[in-house]
Amino acid sequence: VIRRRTGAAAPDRRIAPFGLRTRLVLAFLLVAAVSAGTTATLTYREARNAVLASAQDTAVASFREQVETLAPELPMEPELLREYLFVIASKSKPHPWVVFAEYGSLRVSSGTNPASTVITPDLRRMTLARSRGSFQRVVSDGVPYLTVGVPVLVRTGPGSSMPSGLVLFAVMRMTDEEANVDALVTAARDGALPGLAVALIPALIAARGVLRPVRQLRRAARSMGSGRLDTRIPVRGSDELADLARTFNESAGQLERSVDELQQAEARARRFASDVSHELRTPLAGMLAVTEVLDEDAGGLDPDTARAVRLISAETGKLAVLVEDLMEISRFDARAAELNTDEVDVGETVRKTLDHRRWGERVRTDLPDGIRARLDPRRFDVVVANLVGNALRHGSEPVTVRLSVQGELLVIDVADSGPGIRPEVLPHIFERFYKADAARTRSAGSGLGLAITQENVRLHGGTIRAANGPDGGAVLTVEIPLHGPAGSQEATA
Amino acid sequence: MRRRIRAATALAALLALTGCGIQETDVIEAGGPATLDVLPAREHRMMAFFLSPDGLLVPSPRAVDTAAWNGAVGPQPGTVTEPPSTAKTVAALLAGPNAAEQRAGLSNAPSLPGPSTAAETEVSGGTARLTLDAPLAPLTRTARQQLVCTVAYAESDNGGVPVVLVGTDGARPAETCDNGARRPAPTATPSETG
Repeated sequence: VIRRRTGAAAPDRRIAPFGLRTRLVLAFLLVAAVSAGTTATLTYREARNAVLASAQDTAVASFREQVETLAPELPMEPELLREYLFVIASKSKPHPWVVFAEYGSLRVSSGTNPASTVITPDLRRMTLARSRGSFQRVVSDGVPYLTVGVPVLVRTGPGSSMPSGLVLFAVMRMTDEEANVDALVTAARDGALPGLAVALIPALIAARGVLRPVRQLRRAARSMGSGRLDTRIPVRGSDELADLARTFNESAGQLERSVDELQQAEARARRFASDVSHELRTPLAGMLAVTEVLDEDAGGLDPDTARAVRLISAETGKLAVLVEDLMEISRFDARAAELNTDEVDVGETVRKTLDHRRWGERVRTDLPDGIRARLDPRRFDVVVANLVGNALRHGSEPVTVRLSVQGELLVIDVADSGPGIRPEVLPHIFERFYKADAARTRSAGSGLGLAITQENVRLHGGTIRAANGPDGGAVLTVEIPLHGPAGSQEATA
Repeated sequence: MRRRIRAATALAALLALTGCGIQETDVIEAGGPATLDVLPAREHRMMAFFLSPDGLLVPSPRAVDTAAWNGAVGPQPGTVTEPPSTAKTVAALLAGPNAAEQRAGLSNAPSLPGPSTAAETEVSGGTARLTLDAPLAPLTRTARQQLVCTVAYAESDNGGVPVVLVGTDGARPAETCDNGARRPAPTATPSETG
């Protein structure tokens, strides 16, 4: 699981287009925009309405007040009425207005036209029909106007009055209000935009607050995946992320404990194997000495006894080899195997190995002179001996040992002429005590030969692989760096 | 998530659209009318109700020239003048608008009887009675209202008196002047009459 986690985490260095940070910042900005926009809009509307209401109320009230100062004679002479209208127009408040009067079919104004183009039929009808003042805002050619209509009532007694048929209208441009309203829009916009910019700061801080623990968690997970099980995250605060960090730490602790236990169990098992082989070695040495004596004396015994003695002798020898191999393997497991490298002539070394085992006649060689490599002669001897011995034992002659150099690698091929290795067996032949044929429980070797070979090759920083040659024989190929193992292996050795 | 964002955007756009600048409005009533005294003063005028081109009842206060009406000397300063009688006012109404009134577009309802029609008024029990020497059947509602309002305002200050029209073809039910006037509570009306 950890392996997969690190694999998936590898490409996330780049900034994801819809990563946490982007989403948090966007959410903050959206909230800020909506609230700033709503606030600005509502404030603006209120302020605008207040500005307009104030102007309207002032205009309506002062217009009515001005009209009430009249004491007209009805029906009026148009010239006289016009004089009155000029008086009212001169007392315009809050802005200059043009006054229009209507009486029957009479139309008089304080302006150039006797009738207004701005006053709507609705306002006229309302003012004529109702004994109440009315106003209406009209936008004509992009210019906002306030139109006010006031009907004139004739006082007919205390508390009683009646419509006189005279109706007065005032038309006032709302230029100042327009400027004020425009200023409000500008103010609202200028207030909202910096608000958005300011909202960016807490957005980034919040994103950081979330992202830092997440990043720590990712780093810790990756570090654990690469084997450092003691990785822990600092737990800060008491939020969900802190909970997550705490849970991570607890899980990491449990994982570390489990792995520790496993490792200890494994170490105990290895030590046991090592101890057992050590304990067996001493009695075996004694037994070997005895069996040698018995072997020598076997000729003098009766044939049955002699066969039994030779069998014991042979099996004791195998047991000794097995114990030696076991000890070698446990040294590898305990990482106690040492590499004592030396600059050697490889062809010479191989030849020596073959001669030493007296395999010279049974093995065909292709050993170019002058190939020099840095390796542990004893271990290399074990590698070659195991491979050739295996080939002789399980394959069939002729066995060929071929030596070559490919780049920086020393390549040794050991091929036999047997039937080869079955494909389903190939992946397992380097496993310990692996039996290619389940029925054949007893074999000539210890069952550890190829495993020890592999460990030795690895110790040299090389690789070993098995395959079947084109002619059907098994080919085992060893590749070892010419100049010794890389620094890391030397450090572990 | 996407739908929510879209809704928020739409809301923001809607808020932004609902009005920058100054918007038009409907007609909004604001406060009362302008109430004022019209010349000539109540004591020196008589009021006939004519029709405006819009079909509204418009009062036309006329200065009373006592000399013209009575053939006597005009009102002297300091003397109390009586307003002209109701019958005279009705006669003035039936005579039609004068030059100034005609210039202002005022007129009589066509169904009103002619200028020479005899008219008598009497007041009894808070109700005025106008007897015309003409049939009432051809009179339209506006024509009747011209008569009713003229009589009502001649008989009382605030025109609240019910008026019964009597013609050669009989009497009509009592009517009140319906010119959109403001009057005090009706209980006060009878005391004003007389």
